[in-house]
Amino acid sequence: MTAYVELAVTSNFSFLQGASHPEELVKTAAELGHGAACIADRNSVAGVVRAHVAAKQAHIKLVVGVRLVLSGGFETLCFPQNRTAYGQLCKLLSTGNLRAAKGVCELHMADLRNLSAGHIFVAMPPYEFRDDFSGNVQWLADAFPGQTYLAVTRLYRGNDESRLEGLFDLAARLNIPLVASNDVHYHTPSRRPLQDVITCIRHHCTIFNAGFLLNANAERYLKSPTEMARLFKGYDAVVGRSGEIATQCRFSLDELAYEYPDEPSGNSATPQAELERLTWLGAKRRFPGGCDEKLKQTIKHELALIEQMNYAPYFLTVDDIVRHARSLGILCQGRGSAANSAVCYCLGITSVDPTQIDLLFERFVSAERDEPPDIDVDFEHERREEVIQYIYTKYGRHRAGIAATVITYRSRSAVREVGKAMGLSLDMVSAMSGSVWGRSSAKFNADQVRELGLDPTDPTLAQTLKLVRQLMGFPRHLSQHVGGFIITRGPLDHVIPIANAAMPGRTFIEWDKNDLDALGILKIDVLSLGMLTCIRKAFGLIERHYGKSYDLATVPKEAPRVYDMICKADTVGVFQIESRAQMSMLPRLRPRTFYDLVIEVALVRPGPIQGDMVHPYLKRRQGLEKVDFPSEALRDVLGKTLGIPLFQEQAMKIAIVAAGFTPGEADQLRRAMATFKRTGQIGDFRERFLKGMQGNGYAPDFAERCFKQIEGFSDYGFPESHAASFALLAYVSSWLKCCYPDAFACALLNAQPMGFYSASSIIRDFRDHGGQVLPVDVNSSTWDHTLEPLKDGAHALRLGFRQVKGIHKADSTSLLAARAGGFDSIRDLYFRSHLPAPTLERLARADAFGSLGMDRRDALWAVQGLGAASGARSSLEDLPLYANALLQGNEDLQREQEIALPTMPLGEHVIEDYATLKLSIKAHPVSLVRDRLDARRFLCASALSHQASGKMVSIAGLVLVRQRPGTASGVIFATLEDETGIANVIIWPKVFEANRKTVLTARFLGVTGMLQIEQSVVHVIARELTDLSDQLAQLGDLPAPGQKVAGVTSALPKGRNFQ
Amino acid sequence: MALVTLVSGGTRIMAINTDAARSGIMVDQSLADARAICPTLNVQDHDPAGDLRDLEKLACWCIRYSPWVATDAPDGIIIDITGASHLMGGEDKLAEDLRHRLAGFGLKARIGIAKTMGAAWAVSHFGAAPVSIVKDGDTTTALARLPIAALRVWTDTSDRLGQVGLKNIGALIGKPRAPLAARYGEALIHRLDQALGHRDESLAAIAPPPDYRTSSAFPEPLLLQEQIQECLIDLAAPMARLLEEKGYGARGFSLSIYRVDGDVRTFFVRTSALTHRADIMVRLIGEKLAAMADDYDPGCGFELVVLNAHDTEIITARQQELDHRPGMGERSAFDMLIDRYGNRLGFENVGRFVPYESHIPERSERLISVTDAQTTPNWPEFTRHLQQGHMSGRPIALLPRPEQIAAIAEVPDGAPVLFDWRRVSHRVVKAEGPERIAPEWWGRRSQEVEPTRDYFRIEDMDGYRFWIFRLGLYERLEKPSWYMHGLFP
Repeated sequence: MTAYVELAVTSNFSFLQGASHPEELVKTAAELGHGAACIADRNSVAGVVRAHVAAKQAHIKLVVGVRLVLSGGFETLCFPQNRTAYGQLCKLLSTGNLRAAKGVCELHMADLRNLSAGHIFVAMPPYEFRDDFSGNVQWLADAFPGQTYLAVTRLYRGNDESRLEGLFDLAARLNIPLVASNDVHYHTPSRRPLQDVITCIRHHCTIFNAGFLLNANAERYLKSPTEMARLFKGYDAVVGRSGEIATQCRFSLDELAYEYPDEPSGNSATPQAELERLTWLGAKRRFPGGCDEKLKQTIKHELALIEQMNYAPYFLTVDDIVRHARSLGILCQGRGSAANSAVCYCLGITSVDPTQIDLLFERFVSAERDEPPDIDVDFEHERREEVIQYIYTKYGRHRAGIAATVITYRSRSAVREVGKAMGLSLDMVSAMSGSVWGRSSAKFNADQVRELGLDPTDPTLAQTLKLVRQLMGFPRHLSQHVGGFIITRGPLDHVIPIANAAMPGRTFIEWDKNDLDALGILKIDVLSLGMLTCIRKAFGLIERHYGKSYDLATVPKEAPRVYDMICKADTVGVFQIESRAQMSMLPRLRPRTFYDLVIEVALVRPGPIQGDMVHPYLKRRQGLEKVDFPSEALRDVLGKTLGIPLFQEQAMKIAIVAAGFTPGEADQLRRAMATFKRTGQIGDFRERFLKGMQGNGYAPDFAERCFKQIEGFSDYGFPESHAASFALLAYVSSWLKCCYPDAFACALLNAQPMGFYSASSIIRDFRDHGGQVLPVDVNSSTWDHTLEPLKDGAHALRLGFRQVKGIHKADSTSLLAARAGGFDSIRDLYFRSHLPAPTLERLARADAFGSLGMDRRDALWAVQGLGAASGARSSLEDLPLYANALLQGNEDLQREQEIALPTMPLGEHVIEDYATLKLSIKAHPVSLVRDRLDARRFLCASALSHQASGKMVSIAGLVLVRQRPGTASGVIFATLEDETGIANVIIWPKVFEANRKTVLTARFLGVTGMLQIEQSVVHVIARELTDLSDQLAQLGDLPAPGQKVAGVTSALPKGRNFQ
Repeated sequence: MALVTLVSGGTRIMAINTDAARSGIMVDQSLADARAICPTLNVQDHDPAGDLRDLEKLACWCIRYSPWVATDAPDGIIIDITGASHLMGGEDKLAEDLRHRLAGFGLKARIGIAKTMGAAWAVSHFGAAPVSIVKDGDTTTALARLPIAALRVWTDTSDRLGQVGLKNIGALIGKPRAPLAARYGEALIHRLDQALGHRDESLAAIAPPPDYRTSSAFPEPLLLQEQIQECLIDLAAPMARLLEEKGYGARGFSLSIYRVDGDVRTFFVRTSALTHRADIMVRLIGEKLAAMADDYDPGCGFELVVLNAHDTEIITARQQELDHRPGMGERSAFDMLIDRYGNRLGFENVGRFVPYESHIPERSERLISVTDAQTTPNWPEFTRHLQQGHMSGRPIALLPRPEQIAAIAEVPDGAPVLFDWRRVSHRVVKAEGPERIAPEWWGRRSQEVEPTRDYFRIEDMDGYRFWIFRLGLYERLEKPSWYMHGLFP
């Protein structure tokens, strides 16, 4: 039988055109016995790597192609026969992408002339021939003689015979061969409904009025060679030719043997020698006393492995980027599989001391798996762009590019789009996509549908749900990855097409990080981290105000008072261990060493929580449970974590040691996990894992928990080396908070927005620790928050203009430029700074004229009198005569009648502070209503810990955060703040449902419930909830009758909501 | 219940009812937030244009109280009741009557009556009671207690005044005006003066849509049916002139005849297109009058005949034919035929076939009422489109329902070589196909979706041509059967 190959295969990477994943198409082609599998998406190769991987698994050859769709509507398949031809094709697509907007590729017939190295073209005839089609085919045949074919299809259109004849005529006339195809858009006919629906989504219509936009039948699926032979009976050559074409296309993605750029080897002969030189140099710097023998061995071992794998240039690249960042004073910290090696420590890529934590290099760079090393580097979030620009400058935009992220349909978007296409009302669609179903992993079941008041037996609804399930995980569009760079030796666009990103001036490549991984292409993640900004700023402040200089590696290690502070959960603002969940864990875990912190960071994460590993670990650590190991084999794996698997590597190791996976299979499992969220499929791994473990004599319950934990890692894979990098930042930030609270608070505020806490909470925490905070003032503040020395050697924190709502950096700059010896009046400020009146009004509202002896209201009245009513600088004053007169203090011209203004009560001041600064240092709003709260027996937050656990208590406070962690099955955690501190409230789902409105909308919340104190962790389990927002609304003047009070409370924090 | 609109960044709440407000929903919230608070929220699309239309309608209705009515978008109506309230028995009675009637429409109103428009607006929007009546001498006192926002100034202005502690209108009354004007604009002073009555404010009264009506009264009652017919002709001509002058056309007319004893009979006719032509009115209404002949009962005679035009709209006059004959072209003649059938049989009973985009043959055309068919269908273009550009043809008429036939054909997708239809055997000499048409799967249960059809164009030995199909595919094990669906000429 003839080897048939379906050449025209459109996958779902032709967005909203193809209705099957590349993997499905390849797998089906293999099952049907095709000679090869093929993918040819519309002006894109975004799906080919997935197909490539699937083809390897299915043991079938993959023909890489593209369906070129030209601006005139002419469509032709194009198959590169070799590496050069592939490079030219990529270049062509890049050209088309870069001349058009994001997501569009604009190609013209003439562009094809740039393809010269051996491509095969298969012209795709439209259903309706027009004269220009034969003209275009002729052009193609003339330009590429012997390489041009014409596709014939039998799609059951009723005129297949006559159409076939027409094509035969055309082929004969132009003397080009025909090749049979089925113009495949899905792998099985059952995907027709989905294809119809994505057609509707593409055309923004509903299935009911789509009419002829839809295909008449479901024939464009992958057919078997026998079926194709039958369809084209009598034209056997036409069918067989497809196989011949596939044979001629010898290009494989494996040939993209990664061409890593040559790094200059500096003073050495080879990159390896240079890396070794730099490493030993670094070792001397890191360990001035000389490093011990064990460490020397480690370094030697790692270097040998790097040499064996030929990764030296990669390490040099990372080293170069990091060194450059450091020369600009940008703080950075490596993480990722290879980052926390001794070599990286010596090079300065990481500051995690390898003697402090024992990580095996093999875990990251494994010779047998031939997996590229992965180094992610976090940079200060405000300055990452400088690093990116450096990479572009060093390698050139033609050699460096950012990886793509494939944005896929999640439940919400799939429901919305499918629902619209299925003609469901806006209301029904939003009900379905609403908060009830939440995140994408949720499956829709009949009960949930009924809960929404919808009828699950309604056929349209049932179909919608079915199609939504199919569409979920489909690629929707490509977007740029947060910071994954790939760098090539030759031009990048010969390896992969480049496309425009939404951000102007940004481009990205068509493959995502899994694709790059699969092809073994090295990438460097240049990420941004707010805490690094904060730490660098804190180091700067310490140097300026205390004359001591530190960096990440020189901060004193293992300081007991830092751990004392951490154990008390006194960690507001500290990296990672500041969240409510982390804070409630700290007093129980009581970390005393760096490695304890590593565990703390890894413990409170979806993986261990989902795997129910947290409590067993805690019990063992507290000595309440014996530390034992499920088997001797696992003692090695789990020794450091008291027999409980906490890290991703451990889970993978368990798969190998306990469930009998090969390292390769464990790796596949890890990859399947990475895509689990996208596809919702875990294959048969689960069963194999559980059976394997049970077969080796492990308890089914333990096996189940291990696998659950692996599933949890799919969301946030968290290996030990990541935990170590994060723990270092957690330690350094804790050290800063402990030793230099003023510098830390100031730096943290200057790095906002970041982290878990608002500026208000940070300031409050600082003042609780005895810090002094000074108000924003036109004569003292700068843009950033600053430190002002106090008599006792400590420093007060002066709020900066950045905290004032509506003030921009440029405003602050002009003000500072004019300030010199200070301003003596508002008028002085107005004329010297040239700031517009509305800006001054904003400063006045923020009460920033205190040094001029004016309170908020007086300043406002004065400022409002400056400008015209419109707020613009009045033209009168711009007249030279008047300006002169005003400057000379000739006040007569402007003297106006006085109006007595009522004094502003403290409550109103506080509310205005919140409205303009999002915080108040005058008073806490709750303190102003404390007597009323006392009357109603509400306790202060600080009083809670003195009460007996199990007692019913009432507390009231501003709602800072409401959280509903995915791991807590609907439980809501709310954080309340009053003038004495913070109280944590737990709201069970039942109580929440009964008090939905109060919980979600109250800004000032009263809670009555049971007090729960466990190892100094204090919670109130809510039973009754009261919205007290009205109480605060009255802080201002009493509102006039009928006046809405919403305006007053809206100044208060809304409380960050889960959503 | 909430009304929403799609803005950049998601769906936002534009308006809510009291139930929604009680559940904590707020205007300008995102729908997602609102749903989190109240999952059972009923949501409809916001239609500001429709609101405005309805507000205008309601304003027109208010003309019953005074001719001077204006809309105050988005949700207010201003009525100048100067000199009109005594007709209702005083201001209290008027307000009570208005509130009562509006409640009858399901509308909850807040009513303010005051000496000035500004004061009335202020008390209606910010007064404590749903009905606030400010006596002439009390304007200043009443206003003084209200917030600045009651002055109809920008929120920004009232906010800025609030920040310096000037929160009530009272805080502004009697204060030096220059500093206030310099800071908050002349508009503030202007509004204050208007509310206090120091400055006039005019009202832009709405004009109700024109009412087209001609009538003849007869001191000597009409008795003969022919006289009414003549009267109709006499009324139609001025009606046509009236409409034409204003550039309006009507979709319906009614003739009401008032008998001396108070009995009224009304004859309604409709037209399928806007018209202002007297001859059409006369013919259509005349036919109705004639049809009445059997139960014509003049009693003591008719004293009043009134001709009304309904559903009037601006008509874009079609250009007259070049030869100046009145536009009696083919199309117009056809329209008139339709109108006559429609008025005689009921428009819902006169239908027209229009194309419908469906691959399923019997669903590819639809019969709709002529009044719904606004444009002439382009059948040739549709047919071309139907077959993706190739004109292989379909029967002009299909059988009322496909008839099952017995056929012998090659498996799996060959054309039949022999078939029996209505007990006659046909041997096939030519066949073209198959044209495979898959069922419409949407909106029905999977077991209700019928199998795929393969259509063939067939010619038998005698030269007769048929359109037959096989229902079901062999490869899907669907036990195919054959059907005759249509005949070619």
